[in-house]
Amino acid sequence: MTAPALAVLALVIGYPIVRAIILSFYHYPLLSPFRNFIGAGNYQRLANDPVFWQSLVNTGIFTGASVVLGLLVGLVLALALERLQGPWRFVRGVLLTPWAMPVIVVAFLFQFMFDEQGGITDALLQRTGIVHHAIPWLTSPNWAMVAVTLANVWQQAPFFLLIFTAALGGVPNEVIEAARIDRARGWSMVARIKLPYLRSAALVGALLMIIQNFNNFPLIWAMTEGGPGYSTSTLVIYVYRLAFTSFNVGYSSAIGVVWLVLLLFIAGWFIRVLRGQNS
Amino acid sequence: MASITLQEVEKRFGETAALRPTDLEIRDHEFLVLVGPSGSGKTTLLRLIAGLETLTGGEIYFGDQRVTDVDVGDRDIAMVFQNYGLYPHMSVFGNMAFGLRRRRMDRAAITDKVQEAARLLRIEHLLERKPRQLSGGQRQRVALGRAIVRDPAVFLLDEPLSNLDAHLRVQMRAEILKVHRAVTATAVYVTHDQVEAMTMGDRIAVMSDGVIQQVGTPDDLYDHPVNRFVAGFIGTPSMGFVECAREPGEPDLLTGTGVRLRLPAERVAALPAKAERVSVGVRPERLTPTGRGDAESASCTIEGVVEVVEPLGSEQHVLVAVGEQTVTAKGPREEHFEIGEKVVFALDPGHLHIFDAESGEALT
Ligand SMILES: Nc1ncnc2c1ncn2[C@@H]1O[C@H](COP(=O)(O)OP(=O)(O)O)[C@@H](O)[C@H]1O
Ligand SMILES: [Mg+2]
Repeated sequence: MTAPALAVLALVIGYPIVRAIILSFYHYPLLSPFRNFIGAGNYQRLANDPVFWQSLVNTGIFTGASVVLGLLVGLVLALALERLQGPWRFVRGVLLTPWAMPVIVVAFLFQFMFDEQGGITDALLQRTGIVHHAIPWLTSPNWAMVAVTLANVWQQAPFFLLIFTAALGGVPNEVIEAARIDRARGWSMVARIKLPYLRSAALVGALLMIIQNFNNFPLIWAMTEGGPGYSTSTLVIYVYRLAFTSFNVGYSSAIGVVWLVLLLFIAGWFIRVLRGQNS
Repeated sequence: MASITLQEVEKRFGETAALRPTDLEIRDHEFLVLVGPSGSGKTTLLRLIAGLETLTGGEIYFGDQRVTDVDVGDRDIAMVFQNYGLYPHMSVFGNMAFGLRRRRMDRAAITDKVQEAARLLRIEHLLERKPRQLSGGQRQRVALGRAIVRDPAVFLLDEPLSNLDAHLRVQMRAEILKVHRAVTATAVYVTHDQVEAMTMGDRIAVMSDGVIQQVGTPDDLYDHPVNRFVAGFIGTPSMGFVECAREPGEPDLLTGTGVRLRLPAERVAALPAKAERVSVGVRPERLTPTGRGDAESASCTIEGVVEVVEPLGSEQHVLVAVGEQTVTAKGPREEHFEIGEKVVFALDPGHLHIFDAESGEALT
């Protein structure tokens, strides 16, 4: 049974990868009948392409900020809601709904909320006097990154809330009570007793979300299409733009290969950490 | 000063009365054992003393200080849990030092304290290890160590030995008593095992259905149980019971199927006149088989059929069906019994425990 399964896997996963690697050595505009072998040409171009470098940095910022903020928000919520009992547990259920929403819905929701004219975010911020002028959430390069990241955190924090709630449920009652007898209260109870139980949940959750956000296409595309300019363009967005709006298949394949190698490193790290957890 | 006084202490979980209003006085430095079947409210009572559970009613005093509303961290108690409750991410040293650090003791003093406790429990060589690298017995010692480093006034233990194998359990019993003597705290020890209770307790409180049935020394409980529950719970093998009625016109004669007990005058005098149906209890070691001839002359006899013989090496237990009930006799292995054989036991009336058949209360 393993041999045929491996063969199918090799075909399904291997073929597109091999194809992409081969294509990355060609000059291959989709609209012209010609394709020329240009060796490492695409890779040389990539090294000197400021948009590629910007997309790489953007990927790091978007992924890093989303995971760190999502994790922190999820953690704080999980700790704050731990005591919810009986019917109040529905609060946790409500807070989990963003995680279940289609990404596209989230994207449109935040597009409306971040709209400069009549968006609820600016309206609220101005009404409460926190800012005097409307923030150009989606039209200024710096704010656009903040906007997509916030939307992303809003959707993903519940995932962390979920895994941290589960992990907190795994802290034995006797340990908590022993700590209460030892006079651990408030912050020392959280930091010295509970957090150590959340370490592996945090690690696994963070790694999963790093991979997820490295590949996060629909949210950014639906909100900003990577703009304004290339300010919210991540590697996936840039590859997509090159392949399907500039039809530059060879060059986008080269970027795709780099992106894949990075992902393989992250995945390898992930697998190593998971193994370490189990032993 | 760490006597513990419970006044009308009560705990309900919704409809369940885990502990009915209870008065109890635990003396300073005493080792008190709470014993009873599972679900009888032992853990609840212990947790109320600890402050881990809030009272539904009543008051608790340590010495003359009222602690009813005092937080668990401020009660000067230490507790050993059934599953140890060690902090898995801290070393053995860290586990024992945590409570001291939280109390702002200085570094050198903490090290001294932990070393001293570790020496007492012979775990000095384990101080760097994590709990998961320890055996069950070692974990138990660490849990004890964590409890005693703080010199608590009150030392609470909830079935601490139930996860250990039989051999280790016997060894740890002695260890715990040694530790208790060393720290001179007032100890309350919960167990469902009456042998543990009898061997360890200065005094024992027997619980059932959220009520303390009797408090006393092991000998008190064994010789003068206040009701049928305590009589049956304390002692192995258990006390046997036979149901009897008093003969009309013969107030000193109790009879039942296979049972004929003629009581001496002083015992009859102690029986309430209206007690017509009684339950008579006999300890297994008081049931001595007699030859047929002696049975005629004995004032008290029980007659039955041998059902089971359990040889135990040094002695044997013989289960005898008497009418509807079964009583156990304990005796030397040399005596031979056949299954199905009819046996007659002669009894000293001074060894009979007589209970009201309805209420189960002791009648004399
Ligand atoms: N947290 C709780 N919630 C509801 N019922 C409880 C709780 N703790 C104990 N009880 C009930 O109280 C009774 C006494 O329990 P417990 O004190 O644990 O008994 P024991 O330790 O003697 O086995 C049981 O009927 C048990 O089901
Ligand atoms: Mg219990």
